[in-house]
Amino acid sequence: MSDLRGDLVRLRARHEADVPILDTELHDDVALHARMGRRPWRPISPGTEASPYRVKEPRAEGASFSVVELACDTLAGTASLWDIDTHNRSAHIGIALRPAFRGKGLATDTVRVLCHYGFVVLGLHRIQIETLADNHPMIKAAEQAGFTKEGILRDAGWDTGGFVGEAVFGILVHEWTTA
Amino acid sequence: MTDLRGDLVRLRARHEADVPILDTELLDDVEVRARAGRSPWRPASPGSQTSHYRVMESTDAMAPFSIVELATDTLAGAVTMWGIDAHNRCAHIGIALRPGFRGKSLSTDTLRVLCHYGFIVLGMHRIQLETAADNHPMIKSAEQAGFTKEGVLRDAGWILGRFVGETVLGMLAGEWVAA
Amino acid sequence: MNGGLRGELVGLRARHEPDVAILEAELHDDVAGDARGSRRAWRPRPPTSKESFNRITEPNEGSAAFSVVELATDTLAGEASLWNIDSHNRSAHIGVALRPAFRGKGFGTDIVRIMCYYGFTVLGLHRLQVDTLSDNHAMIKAAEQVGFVREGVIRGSAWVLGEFADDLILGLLADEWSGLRHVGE
Repeated sequence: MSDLRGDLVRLRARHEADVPILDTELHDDVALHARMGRRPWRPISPGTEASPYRVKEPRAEGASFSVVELACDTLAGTASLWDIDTHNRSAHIGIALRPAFRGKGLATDTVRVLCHYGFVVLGLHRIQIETLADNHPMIKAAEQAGFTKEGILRDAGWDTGGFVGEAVFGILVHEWTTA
Repeated sequence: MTDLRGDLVRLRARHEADVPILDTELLDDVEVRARAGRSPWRPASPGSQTSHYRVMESTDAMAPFSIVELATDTLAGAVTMWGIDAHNRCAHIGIALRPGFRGKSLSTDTLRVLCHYGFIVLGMHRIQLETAADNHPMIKSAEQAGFTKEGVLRDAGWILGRFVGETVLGMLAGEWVAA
Repeated sequence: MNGGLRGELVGLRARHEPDVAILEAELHDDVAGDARGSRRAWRPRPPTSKESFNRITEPNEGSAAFSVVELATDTLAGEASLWNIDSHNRSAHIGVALRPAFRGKGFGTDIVRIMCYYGFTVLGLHRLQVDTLSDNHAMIKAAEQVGFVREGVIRGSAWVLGEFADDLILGLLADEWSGLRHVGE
């Protein structure tokens, strides 16, 4: 892999043109947002610094990508490696796809490309995915990419009106094989 | 319970006089510190503003306490409720006892008092505790206090030359029974 | 000495305030010694200078500054540091300077060994490096006794008191290190 590219997607830095699309389709959907983040949904005006998808300078503890579907060269969503810990050599994966790009196997491919970035480019030892225990598409993507379910943090997240468990998946560098 | 007091310990704010004791016994000990924190042990000169045990203001996200043994009215260690998340109503506990105060069941009692603080005073729904997977005394204390083991994050921490798993234990408000 | 890292002859602990004046007087104010040990030109500086390498600093990710203590007497014997800690390439450099009265006693070897424990075991680094003048036999011997390998000579790379001198680079990788898992065990 010479750039960050899988079978279906490639990952690139965030461009300004991505921001309004991601804000509209991912942030402004209150029910969806409640399931994605640890923080409650709040109204965010377009183009403000509060956007979770704004263009940011590179930093050591996190890497934000835009996901591009290869077949149509179109923005498909966002992916990040966050809480990069160079001492314990671990990081977490976060993914959100635009509604029209779900159910196409892009998440699994995105997880694989992020693993390549984490294990090969950064030299990490462990990558972790947290997701709501009833988020079956994300769980399937994690398992297909080779992650192991390590536990369920019971009632760890508040999802529009009720507490939901958070499933934790992990993969270690020696378990990861380039597909 | 009218103040933060259990059968064996009480919790109070950090006093200046605690700091050199906790720094010397908990921070300066390389092996103790390597097992207690996510960041590597680093030499810290007396009075360092980076000390985990310095006097600091409580915030919405964190509440640092000193542990006092009731029998002797002596400083026994430090315990912090951190990562207090008012939206998901969950928080984490970190606890460290001075070497001379271990093996006396003080940590179980401390956890019970801090659960009172978290569930009753703060209104949390869930309290979580992470510890090295081979830290059997801590795991036993947590289970005695009513925590449930929810998973092991494999190889999640670098501790003195090797990767060690991290055990996650959780307790929900409905499971907590006041002592 | 309580806490910190302990070897057979010396221990490494954080810098304490009374150390600073001693290290400044015996290490920095020795112009010839400083010229051999430092990459920067010697300049006069007051003991409390913010420029001092020996001053008290807050812990940080890029370096770790220690005071060396002779265990037998609980006396300050010098300073040692891990510098240029690079958590991506997982490497760092070792620097050591002993007070004149504490040289020739085998402390250097003990210090390098403790620094290997700190770098490899505590921090999880992959490579440690010693950079020294090619005629600094005491430092070279200390590094080689711990297993460091001579990797190259950087010719004429240091200006030392009127002439150019060569730097010698020695390196040790984590899987070559024979150290015990716990120093002192």
